[in-house]
Amino acid sequence: MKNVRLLLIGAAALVLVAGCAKPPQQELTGAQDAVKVLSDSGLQKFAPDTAKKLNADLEAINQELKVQEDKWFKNYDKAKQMIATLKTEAEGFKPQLEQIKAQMKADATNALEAAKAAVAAAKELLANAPVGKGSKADIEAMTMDLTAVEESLPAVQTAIDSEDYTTATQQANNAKAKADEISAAVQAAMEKMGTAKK
Amino acid sequence: MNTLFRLLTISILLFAASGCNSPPDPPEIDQAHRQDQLLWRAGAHIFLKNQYDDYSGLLKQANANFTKERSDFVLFIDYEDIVAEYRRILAIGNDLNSSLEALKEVKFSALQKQLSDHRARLKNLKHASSLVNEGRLARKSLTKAELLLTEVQSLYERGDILRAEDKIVAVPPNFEKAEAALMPIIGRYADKDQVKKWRAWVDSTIAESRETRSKAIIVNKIKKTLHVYNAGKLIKSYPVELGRNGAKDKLQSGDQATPEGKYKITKKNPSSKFYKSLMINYPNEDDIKAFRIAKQKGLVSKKASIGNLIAIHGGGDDSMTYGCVSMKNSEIEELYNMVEVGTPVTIVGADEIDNPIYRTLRGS
Repeated sequence: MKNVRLLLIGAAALVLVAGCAKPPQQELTGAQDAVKVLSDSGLQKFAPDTAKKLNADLEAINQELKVQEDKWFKNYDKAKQMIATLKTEAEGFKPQLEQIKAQMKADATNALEAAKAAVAAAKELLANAPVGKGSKADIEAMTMDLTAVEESLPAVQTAIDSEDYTTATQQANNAKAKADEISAAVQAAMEKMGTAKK
Repeated sequence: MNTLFRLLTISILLFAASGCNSPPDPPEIDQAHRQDQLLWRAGAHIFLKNQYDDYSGLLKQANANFTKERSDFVLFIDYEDIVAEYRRILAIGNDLNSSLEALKEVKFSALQKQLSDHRARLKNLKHASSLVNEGRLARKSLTKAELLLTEVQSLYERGDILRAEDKIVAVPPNFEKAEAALMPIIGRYADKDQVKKWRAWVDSTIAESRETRSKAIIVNKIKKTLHVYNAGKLIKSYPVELGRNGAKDKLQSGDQATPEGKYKITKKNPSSKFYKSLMINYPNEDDIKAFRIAKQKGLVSKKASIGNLIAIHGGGDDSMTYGCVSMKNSEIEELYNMVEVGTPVTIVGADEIDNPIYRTLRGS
């Protein structure tokens, strides 16, 4: 009878100890903060897949916490491990995210500079193109083409300022291609005229 | 007593152990979560928002049911219903994916057609602009349209349909601007009554040549050709260049337009500034009448004069003039020797409605 009592007391103590295991709230907050830092840095915009994965991981952690909360014998080891993994992943991704952003910004800025240089080169060529009766209309048309290209460049800067680097790079590359095309046309016309003079 | 003690011990051990070892999660759960990721990545949350929200709601509910079941005492856990629920969701997800693919296909096709139509319109307008030497007003708008189309094409190729759809609406206003600039010039070439009038001039000139068994010259502005007829038969054709605004009808001095009408050679100049020239009687009576009306209507300034000294001359067929008809030196030489003072010279915009401008406007 004494053994039975001892056993029952032991079991009750076990239930109490296990039932009182606390959810790892502090760890969870830490992981959530790490994800928030990424979100604030444009995670959704620059790495949408990672954003979706981290959110799914957070949801899975919440599910695991709920499972344990509803149990008689709570065991948060798995949740803790999941939280730690998420935090490590989120913190580890921060420099990568910054790197992605920096690279995209640099690409867009370089593309804009290249487009500006191409426009300047085309302008110079047009300015030096011999304007005669024969070339006047072509030069006028190409000048208007180039004006349209030049007028498209502020939109590239606006896209860069709003961190829409993909659009900015695309627009800048398009502008550069068109400016190069104009330069090539002027060059060809000048060469043709040069040949004709011979 | 010992038996009772053993039974109790075994139960407690089982009870304690069971709390730590739940049965494995059914594989359908992981499959459903992977499917959700794939649907999201494919843009289901954008293109089929309502359906995706319903799907997500069902998945969340299933997750909650699974969580509840998993919380049960291990011996009572039964995933049969949970598995069935996830399988239903997987089936819904598959249907959603099919709908998404079909919708994207429709959107892609529509966008592709728009891109193709716009490219054709751009090509036609550029062609029309170059035919009439109108690069000042139209080309800027056309180049803007071209840049936008290139951007839309890139978005389309990247599968970013929504942004492509958003961007492409900015293209047509640029076409409309270009058309507004071109229409006053090219509109006449698609006007059946105007073309009929030009055709009548051509026919009467050829008939006159036939009747008088003499030579006649017909200049077609849109084709940039000069035809020589003898006794009503075409005997020679030459390429020519026109005024800077050659597609327009000359109205006043300095407008750099080439006149349209029935003229005659009034003077042959063997030592012109442009090799050799054949002066015509611009302005004729019709030109003077049109000029007076234009002045009365305020279409030209009060100080404007009608202009003169319009000729067919040398200097090359690839250079623009101030309104004259220009030819290669070797060809004006030939023509110069072929015609004489009094030879009719008829200048028309086009001689048939199916002319390059009409075809361009019609998009063929």
